[in-house]
Parts: sequence; C-alpha cells; structure tokens
Amino acid sequence: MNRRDFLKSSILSALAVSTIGRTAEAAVQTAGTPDLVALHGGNAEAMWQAGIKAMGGMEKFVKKGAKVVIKPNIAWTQPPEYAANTNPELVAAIVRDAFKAGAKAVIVFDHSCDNGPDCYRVSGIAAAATGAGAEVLHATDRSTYRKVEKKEAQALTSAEVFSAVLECDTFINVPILKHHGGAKMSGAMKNLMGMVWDRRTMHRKNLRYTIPDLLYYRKPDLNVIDAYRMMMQHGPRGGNLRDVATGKFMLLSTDPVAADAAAARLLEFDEKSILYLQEAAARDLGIKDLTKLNIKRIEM
Amino acid sequence: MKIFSLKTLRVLRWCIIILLLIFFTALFSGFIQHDQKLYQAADCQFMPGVLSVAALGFAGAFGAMVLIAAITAFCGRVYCSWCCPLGLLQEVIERLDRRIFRKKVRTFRKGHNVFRAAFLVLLLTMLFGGIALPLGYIEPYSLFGKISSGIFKQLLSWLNNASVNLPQSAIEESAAWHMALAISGGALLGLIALTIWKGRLFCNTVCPSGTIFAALAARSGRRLVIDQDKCVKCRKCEKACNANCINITDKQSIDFTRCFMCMECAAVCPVKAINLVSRRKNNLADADLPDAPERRNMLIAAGAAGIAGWAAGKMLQKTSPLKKQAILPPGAGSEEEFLSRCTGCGLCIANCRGNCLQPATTEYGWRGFMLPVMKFSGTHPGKCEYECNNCSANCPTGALRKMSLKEKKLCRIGMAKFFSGNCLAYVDGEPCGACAEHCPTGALKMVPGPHKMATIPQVTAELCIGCGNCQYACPVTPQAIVVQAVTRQNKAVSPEVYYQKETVKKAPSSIPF
Repeated sequence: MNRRDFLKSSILSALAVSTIGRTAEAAVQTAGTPDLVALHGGNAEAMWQAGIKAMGGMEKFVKKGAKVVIKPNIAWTQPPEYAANTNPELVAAIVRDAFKAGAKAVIVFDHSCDNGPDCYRVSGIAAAATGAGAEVLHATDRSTYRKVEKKEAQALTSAEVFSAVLECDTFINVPILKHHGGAKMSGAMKNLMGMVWDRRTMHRKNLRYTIPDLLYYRKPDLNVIDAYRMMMQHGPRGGNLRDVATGKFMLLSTDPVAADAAAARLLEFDEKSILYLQEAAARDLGIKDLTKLNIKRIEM
Repeated sequence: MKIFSLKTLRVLRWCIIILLLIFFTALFSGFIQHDQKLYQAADCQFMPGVLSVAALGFAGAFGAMVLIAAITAFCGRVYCSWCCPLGLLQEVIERLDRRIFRKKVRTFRKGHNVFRAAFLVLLLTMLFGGIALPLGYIEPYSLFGKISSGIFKQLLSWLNNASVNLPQSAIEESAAWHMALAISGGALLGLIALTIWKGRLFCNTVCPSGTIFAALAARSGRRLVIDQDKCVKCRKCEKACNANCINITDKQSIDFTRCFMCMECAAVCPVKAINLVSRRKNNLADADLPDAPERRNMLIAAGAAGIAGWAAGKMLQKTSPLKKQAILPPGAGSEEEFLSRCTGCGLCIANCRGNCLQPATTEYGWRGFMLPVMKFSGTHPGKCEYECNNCSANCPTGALRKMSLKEKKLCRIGMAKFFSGNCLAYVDGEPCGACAEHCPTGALKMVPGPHKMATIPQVTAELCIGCGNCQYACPVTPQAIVVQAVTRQNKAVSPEVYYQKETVKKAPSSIPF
C-alpha cells in the first residue's frame, strides 16, 4: 500500500465511522425511547395517549397478568378544577390502558392528608378509577401498611409502606404539579410521600433527605406528571381558583428526578431551591440536568 | 274511625320501631355522614327542639316541637312509643324480656306525680341556672345518643374492622373514650335492669319530656278508654301494659297521663273493650288528673325544686369556673353559652370527619364532663376538616348554631400561635413546612427564618380560623404551632377577599426546555 492509498483509505474510513456514528445517534433520537417526554396543548387523555406511545407503549410497562398500582395525588378534599389533586380523567385513561395491556388488577390509592374517603369522593378520582375498572383502596388504616427497612436510606431508614405498593409488578406515579409551601414544589418525588404511613417522621427528619429516600423503597416504573392544571402558588392545598393556571402540560419519564427537574422549569422555579431534587441528583438517583437527557417534545 | 285493624297497627308499629332504632343507631355511629338531610331527623325530637328554641329563639327547631306537643294534646303520648329513640329501645328490651320470661306480668302501680313534677322543674331550672349536664343524662334523646355513640358505635366498628377494604375506624384508646364507653355501658345496663324490673318507669318518673307530655295528655282530645260494660276483668291488658298504668281491679281505668299509646292493651283485649274515643263526645271527666291535695303537694314540691335547682345551678357554676382554654366546636359561640346549652348527646362527635371532636375530661371542668371538645394533639389527635360542617349542621339542641359550609369556613374557633422554640426549621434549620402545607385558608405563610433555606411559618391573623390542621400536622411534640382559644367565636376574612389583589404567575405558553 502506498502513501496515497493509505491516506485515501484512512480519510474514507474516518468519514465512514463518523457518518455511521452520527446516523446511529440520530436513530436513538428518533427511534429509541426518550428519557423524558414533554407534551403541551392537548387534553389530559390525548396527551397521555401520545405520551405513552412515545415512551414505547403501555405494554413496555405493563406485562400480561401484571398487578398494577397507580398512585395519583388525592391528598385534599378539593374538586378537580382546584388542581390540588390529580386530574381524574388522566387516572381513568391510565387505568384503561393498563387493562388493555393485559393487567390482571389495577389498584388506585393515596394516603390522603384530609379525611381519606372524602378526598377520594370529592376529587372525582374514586368514581373515575372505579368506572375504568380499577380497585380503589383506602389507605387510612395503619394495618394496610408494612414496615420495611432500608440500609441505603440516609434519613428514613425504616418506613411503613402501603402493602399493595410492595406487592405490585408495575408502579405508576401520577402526581399533579403544584407549588408547595414546605418543599417548594410538589411533583413526582414529593407525591411518593403518599405511599408511606410515616409522613410526620419524614417532616421531622428533614424532607431534603427523606423524600429522595423514598426511591429506595419502591422506585416508580413510570412517572406521569399532570400539569394540565397547575397550582402556581399557595400550594399544596390551594382552594382558590385564582392560583390555578391551565398550562396544558404533561411530563412522562421513568426517572422521577428528570421529571421533577423538567417540572421545575414549567413552574419557573430555580431547581436549586428544590432541595430534595438537588439531594436526589447528588445521590445519583436520577439525572436532573436536562441537557444530558434525550427529550421528546410533542406540541398538540 | 277505623283505618287500620289493631293487628296491622301493631305490625306497623314494630316495623317503625326497628327501622327508627336502626336509623338512630346509624346516625350516632357516623355511618351516614354524607347525607346531612337525614340528620334533620334529630331535629324532630321533642326535648332537643325545646332546648334549641330556648337557645336560639325563633331560629330554633320550632316546627317539630310544636307538632309533637299538638299530637300529644290531640291523642296522647304517641311520640313516646313510636318516635322517641330511648322509648323504642325500652320497647325492644321489654319485648325481648317477655320472649325470654313469658310468665312475667305487669300490675297497676300508682303514678309518682309529685316527684315527677318536682324533678322536671329541678332539671329545667338547673338548665336555666347554667348547668345543662344533668339534663343531658336524663333527657331521652341525649341519653340514647350517649348509649348509642358509646356502645353501639364501638360494636359496629369492631364488626366493620372484620371486613377488609373499607375505611376502618381505629378503636379509640384514650382515657376520655374509655370513660365515654363506661358511661354508656353503665347507662345501658341500668336501663335494661330498670325496664325488666319496672317497665318504662324511667319515662314516667324522671323523663322531662314525659312529664310535659303527661300534662298535655291529661286533657287530650282523644283518649284510650275501657268500656266498663264490655270489660270482663280478665286483666290481660293490665299484664301487658309496660307503663303499669291500667287499673282493672279498682275501677277499670287507664291513667292516660302515663299511657304511651302503644296499643298493646287493645290488641290483647278479648272483648275489644279498649278504644280510642273523643273526650268531649263521651263527656269524659278529667279523671286522670291528680286530686286537689296531690295537686297542692305537686305545686309545693315543684316550687321548692325550682328554687333549689336555680340556686344549685348558680352555686355549682362557681365550683366549675370557665377555663377558657378549650377549643369549642364551630357554632358554639362562647364557653359559657356552650356549657349551658350542650347536653352531650354525642352526635357531633360521632360524625366528625376529622376526628378532632372528642369527649372532654377536664378541659371544661366538671361542668363540661364528656361534652365535645376539639383536640388537635395528644393521644388521639384530629383536625377540623375544612370541607365539613357536620357538627354544626347536625346539632339539634342549638348548642351549636346551624351554619352552612360557607359560614363554617369563616368561623374562627381559635387562633394559631407559633412557638419558635419548638420548630425544626427555626431551631435546627431543617426545612419542614408541614403546618403551612395543611393550612386550608392560606393563613400560614412560610417566611425566611434564622437559617438559610429553612423557612418558618408566619400566622396571618385575619385568615386563621383555628381549625388545627397546622397543629395536627406539626411533627414535633410539643407542637411548634398551637391553636389557642378565643373568648368568643367570630368571623375571619375570606381568603378570596384577602388574596384578591395578589398577582399570580402565568403558566408558560410552550414547553420551556
């Protein structure tokens, strides 16, 4: 091989390698599963349909015969338009798709802050979920929780977790996006507080550390942040329609940290002010840097 | 005028008794909390109606009280064996007892007119003297409430706990609940013993409603009478009478002031000698009225009891001065008003959605023993649910003014106070915010504290209604935020009005990342 041929071939091969690399990268962008799907402009059900399709379809998360637990935010005795609880239409749509994907049982629950049965009723979630075929479980009795210990946790080293969460095959976290007086923002990770009994202990041991600790007990298989209606201030309880903005957003991700980081941008919060988000990222529980994520954006 | 045969009437009465007893037990067990309309049934009781009119004047539950009095004046004490929950309970006890000891028979006993008149006056004057407590243990509706919300509720909740998947109420474990259980158990056992021993003696001696009804029934337009020509003196009616008010041996008469119109006598009469007849048409004299010397004794006894009751009320009040520390349920007004009106039936406690209404032990002093009090911390903490007005909407005695949910949401029952020395965020710099998170009116604002990143709560007095959600949520003991009593309940500013001018951030118009 002479020098000219060598140069020729090396340039060609370099070109080839770089092109192949680039096409491969492009393929991931379009064909591969995104880390985060952000949707805007549709109604709750339409955005969910498009979002889950972009995430690779419900079948990817719910296997045939699976036991599915859906954890919306049903914390307060407030009707849907006040944006204190997850949109009931979204919960119903997820339940239906879970059954369509072959789920054996779908359970919907939350450890409410107000009187549990009242929250279930007034939020419209009990009726919507039951209507779609789910079983709505009350979480007001301590005996329905099971004590679990986690050595890796830093503050919440033991917790009483709702039994159904521990026993399920697929755990879907469906929070509503809100301003939060104590934790700054309520999104994916904050919503998980409703899967344990020990809410007071979590507050006592510093939410900055206890909220990320929840991910050791059961990391959700899918996080769907409902931001169709957003509580911009006076959260998490609200009660004033002035505080509610109709943003028409939805975020889907398997990574609760990524979902929360994106959610903070929707509320225009400085992510540094959300301490539990910083903490979770520092512990490598997820990625908060949106530039490192493969994001699929869908305008509807 | 025969609409029903006596047998049909008897079947009808037992159907009503059983349905009403189930209904009242459900009311006092908190099983039908969602439908406040059903609770208006508690307003249809006589003594609560009297009390509510005494407390609230024309705003009280006038209608039912007047109707019951009118019915009694027309055809006797129908209320006592068709509608009064304690009366129905005694009817059931008597029935079961007769099933078990069939041979037991009742015989005529003389009435205790002097005692009952004096006792009624004693209770009422004590009430007006400011002590409602004794009335609460004698008055049939409240007594039934105590029995039902103590024993029956507990039984039902144990049964309920056996089933999964339903919201299970925890077995109450505090001292106050044990006391309430003991009192209602004692009252039920006492009532069973008395009924087995002497029939419905309770209703014809101590019951204040019964005594008022007796006075009305003595001159009622229609009355049960034994036809002396037909009567064969078999004494079947006398033996069947729970009130011991039929006298066959001496004069074949019924003491209509003590008769509950249960119609058992007419049903057992082999010759149909007992009938409801018009007093005027049949020219009946006021035969049941006590004679002159007895009337004089009644008057003297009642007068003496009146003075004694009033004086006792005033004196006893001094032994239990107002503490002004306890949080009163919404609609109570002031502690003085509440303690002189509430009979402690327990309807509000049983139907509290936030489990904060609990029987008081020492919170009010002995004068308010077992009356409802709001507890936001302690062994069995609860909180006043913002979207609930069951207590004030259901209270039949006027101790709690009836308020719509909208009114109740602005009713200030206390005022939150921040104790920074107990607060995690203030002392240790650990962000918490549980109090502000649970505050339903936006009265708690998180503001910068001594530590960076750990905001602390600040109370906006205009908005605070004292609902206790903050105290309940506070994770430390003793709590860093505590609701303190107000001298008189008043009106808070509505959050809608208060935050009217605040600017609200808009949501982004497209995906911002």
